[in-house]
Amino acid sequence: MWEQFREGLSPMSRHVVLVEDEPNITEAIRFLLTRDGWEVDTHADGASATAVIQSAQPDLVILDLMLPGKDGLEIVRELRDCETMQALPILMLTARGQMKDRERAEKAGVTRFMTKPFSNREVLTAVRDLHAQANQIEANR
Amino acid sequence: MASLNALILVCLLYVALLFGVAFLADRAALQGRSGKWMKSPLIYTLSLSIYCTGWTFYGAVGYAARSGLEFATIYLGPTLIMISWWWGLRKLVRVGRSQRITSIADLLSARYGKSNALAICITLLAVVSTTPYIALQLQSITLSFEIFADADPTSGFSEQNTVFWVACGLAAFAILFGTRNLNANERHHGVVTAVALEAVVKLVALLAVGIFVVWGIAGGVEATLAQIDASAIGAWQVMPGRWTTTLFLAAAAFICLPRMFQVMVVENVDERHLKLASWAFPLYLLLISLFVVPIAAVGLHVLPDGANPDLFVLAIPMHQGQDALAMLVFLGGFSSATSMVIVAAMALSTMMSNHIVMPYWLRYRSSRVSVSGDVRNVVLIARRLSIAAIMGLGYLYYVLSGGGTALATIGLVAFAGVSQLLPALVGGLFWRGATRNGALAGITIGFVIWVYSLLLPALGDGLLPADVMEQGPWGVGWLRPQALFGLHSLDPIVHAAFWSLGSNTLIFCLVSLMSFPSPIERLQGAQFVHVFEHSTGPRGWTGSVAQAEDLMVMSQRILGASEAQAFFDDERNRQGVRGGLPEPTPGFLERLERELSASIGAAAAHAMIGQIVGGSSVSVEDLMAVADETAQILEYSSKLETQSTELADTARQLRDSNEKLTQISAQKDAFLSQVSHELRTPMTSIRAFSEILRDVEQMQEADQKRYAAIIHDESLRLTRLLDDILDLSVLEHGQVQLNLRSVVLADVLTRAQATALTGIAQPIDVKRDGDREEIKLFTDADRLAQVFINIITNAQKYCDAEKPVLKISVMHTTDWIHIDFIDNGKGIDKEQSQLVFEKFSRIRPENAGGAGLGLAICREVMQRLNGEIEYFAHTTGSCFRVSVPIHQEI
Amino acid sequence: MTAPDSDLIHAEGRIGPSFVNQRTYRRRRLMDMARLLPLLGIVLLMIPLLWSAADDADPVNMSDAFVYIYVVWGGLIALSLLFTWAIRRWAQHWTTEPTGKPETPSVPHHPSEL
Repeated sequence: MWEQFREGLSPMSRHVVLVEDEPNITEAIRFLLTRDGWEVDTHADGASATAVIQSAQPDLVILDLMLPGKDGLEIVRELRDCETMQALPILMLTARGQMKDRERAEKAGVTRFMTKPFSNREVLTAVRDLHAQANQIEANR
Repeated sequence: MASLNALILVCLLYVALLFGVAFLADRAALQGRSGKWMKSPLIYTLSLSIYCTGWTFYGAVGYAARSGLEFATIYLGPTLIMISWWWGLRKLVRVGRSQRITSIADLLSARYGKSNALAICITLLAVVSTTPYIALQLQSITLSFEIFADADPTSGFSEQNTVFWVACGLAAFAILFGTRNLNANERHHGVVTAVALEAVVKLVALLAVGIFVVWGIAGGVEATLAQIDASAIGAWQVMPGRWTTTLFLAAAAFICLPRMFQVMVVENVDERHLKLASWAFPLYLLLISLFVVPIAAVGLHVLPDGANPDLFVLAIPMHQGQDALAMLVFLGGFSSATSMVIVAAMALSTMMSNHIVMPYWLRYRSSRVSVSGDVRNVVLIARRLSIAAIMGLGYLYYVLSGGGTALATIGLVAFAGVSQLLPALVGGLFWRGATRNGALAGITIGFVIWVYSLLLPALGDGLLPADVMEQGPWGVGWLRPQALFGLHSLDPIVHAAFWSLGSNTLIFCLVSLMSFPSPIERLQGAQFVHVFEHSTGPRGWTGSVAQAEDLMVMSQRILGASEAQAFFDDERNRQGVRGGLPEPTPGFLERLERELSASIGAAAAHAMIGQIVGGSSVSVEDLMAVADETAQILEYSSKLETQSTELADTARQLRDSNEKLTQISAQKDAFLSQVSHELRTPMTSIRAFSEILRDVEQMQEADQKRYAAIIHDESLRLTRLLDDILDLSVLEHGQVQLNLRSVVLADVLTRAQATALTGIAQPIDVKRDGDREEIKLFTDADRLAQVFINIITNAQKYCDAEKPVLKISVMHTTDWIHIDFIDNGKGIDKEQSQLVFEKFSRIRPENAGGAGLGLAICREVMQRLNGEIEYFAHTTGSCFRVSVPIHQEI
Repeated sequence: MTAPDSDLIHAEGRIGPSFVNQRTYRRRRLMDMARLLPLLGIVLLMIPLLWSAADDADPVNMSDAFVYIYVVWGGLIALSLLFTWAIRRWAQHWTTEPTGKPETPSVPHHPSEL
């Protein structure tokens, strides 16, 4: 029992799903996060992204805004509609850096918004912050 | 001295040679292997020399002996026309080619609303003014025979017989080669080649006599000039009125003579041939007339008094005992006369059969056009009979007039006759307001005055009674033929040209200004006057009621089975229909009509298609008239509403422009956002990996290399994207410099294929079209290659077949070359296929490497090159069609 | 009457607006030449009409008249040849004529530049 509990809620659980259609960007982020001790699952298609995330139950999602098949914001809305995913930290990456996009993303329920191109440190910091915040909330519950 | 029999033998051998040349040229053309020289501008230039007839060859010297340098105007007139080709002849030739004109009657008929009345009128005028001219040629051949016969008392020479057999021989030649193929636009390669050969013979002959006279008899240039001054024509003695008039008449006749129109416009293979002809033909004229004055002067000096100056060219060598030279001269004269007669008979027969025989034959059996009768045969028979009839008329004229009139006079009379077409022709080409009624009235009045004041008096006694000549008809003095309205001090030619052409032009302009053209006339007028702007025009068939089978049956009868089949197949390919017959679309009917009109004339073709399409109850003319009336009614009612709508209009315009501004602004935003997105994506990878390379220590060498490669790839992608955006912006703003030059399509394709597929592990299998790509284009090769590279690269990227194949096929129509790129992939979705040429639209994003600008650039490039690029869904995959116009130069 | 070079105006519209005034200028002058040539011919050929004729006291010699006419004729042919040559040259170069800054034709983008 204890073991199971520990596994489910442990601050040590570091599983991220990365949804991004540019293979090179995917590879870069995967390299960074893996080195930082994350388990990284990647996915390139928008249409099936929601289902993949739901079944993977990650600790963090990194999502591109413009995806083939389905818009990134749409995926966020679908995830937020799902009860178990409401607190899931979502880091949104976008190549379109307009204020308008940022507002829309925040409205849709994105936890943090990051504009491409980003520095590696920014990503790592953001991921760590989000993860820590999520654990904090989880612990406070 | 050569015996008459030897002469006849040489003559027959020469004719046999001409037959042979014409036959070989015809056969070569038929087998499609007409060599370069056959299509060369030189042949075209030489064929123009049918302007120089027997009149030139013999008569010019006679003319010079009588009136000094005035003869030169006959050649200076055409020289002026040729050097103004850029804005004169070029337009005429362009119109002739784009409308598939078969004769000058056809041209004017087509211009003035396909009026057959006008065509008949012109045909009659042409026949009347050409007949004496043909008689003149018969006479020159006969006279030259006679001069040999006189020297050979043993021969049983009979003038009448000779003329008869000469006429028969010429008719046979003209029939054999002028009416072999029916489509007059397929041109008579045989005849033209033979005529070109004859042109060389006559030039060489005259030059030979000239050189003989100057250096052989007179003893050099100085001596010749001195002899000229000492002769009877030693002083400048030109009448200003005649000088100007003959210059003008020669210029006018040069473009109006049916035979000149035939070689200049109908037989023209390539408009650009005019470039060479523009200076080479005047040079030919200069050379052929260079020695005329010396020959005349020396002839007057050497030959006995009373010798006919019209035969000096032949008499001088004979008098000097130069038999070989005399024989050459005889052949030269023979060439001049025969080539003129043959081409003139051919041109006239086309006019007679197309505008007189065919329309009446069609009307006579109007109800059975597509059911019975082989039109092709009827046309051929009609043409052959016409040639025979024309030669018969020439012969009759010769016999009746008894020969004898000075050659030059008849030539000028004929010139003045055909010049009556000039106002209608020039007006038709340059003035949209010229109408059919104006042309008809002008030509008629000019023709009548010409007959009355020039032709009848020139025919000599008997035709016009002496008292009419002296006192005028019914004693009305101011109607005297050679002193109309009391103008009695003028030379007859000047007088007749002044009154006939003056009233012709005046009436033509007045009636045109007062009458209102029919809709077809207005359309044709626009097409003629603005021929350089639109070579294909709006005139068309509206009914698709026509049954394709009926059209096919009819076309087979007129064009011949195989040609009709080819034409229909071509059309089917164009429409993309598989199997069966093409749809009778308006465009197709219009093309078919043009094709047919080349065989049977514009008016007849129009009538025939009309019968099938609309049961001849509703003609296009009717439809046009209806449309016209509707437009007028609309115009009237709209006037009533104008005031109230004007205000609303202004408001709407304001709203519109506001909307447009907003739209443009939105488009700009969207574009910038897209560009920003496309730029940021590769930047992201570059930044991420360069930081990894910088920060991470102890990385494996393989990884390092791979990451560096990614950075390199992405920076290339960035560069490409920037290039594309700049390229597109340059193209869109029209600031592109095209490097137009002549290239062979095959070379461009080969280059594009190499560029697109080099370095690719498994390149797509490209199937090419071989010989059909050997087409010369005048375009920007780099830009065209850019389009091809894009398409081939796309096929390489997106073709998802197991064994990807790209077929590049080339199709050739008269004005376009279509290059189809067909692959065997699954093609593009219907929704997406409408967007492929839009900026940033990727066909399949998952495997794209570009920014989605390639096809947008292609579209812009093709627009700049006056071509098109289209996408078709093809049964076996996707098909991109690139269409390039053939004629681009100028 | 229409302007004889209306087709050129059209072509101009297609090729592109603005700049290259020099090019347009050259082309216009070329067209002027095309129009002036026959006019020049007519004027030169009308000059003999001003000469005194045979009936006058001091007529022009036939040989002089002969030489004059043929020299004018040859000159017109030469000018026509020159015009033909000029438009051929123009057709080849009108698009690449230097207009201040040379613009290298942009290289088609290659998919495999590596």
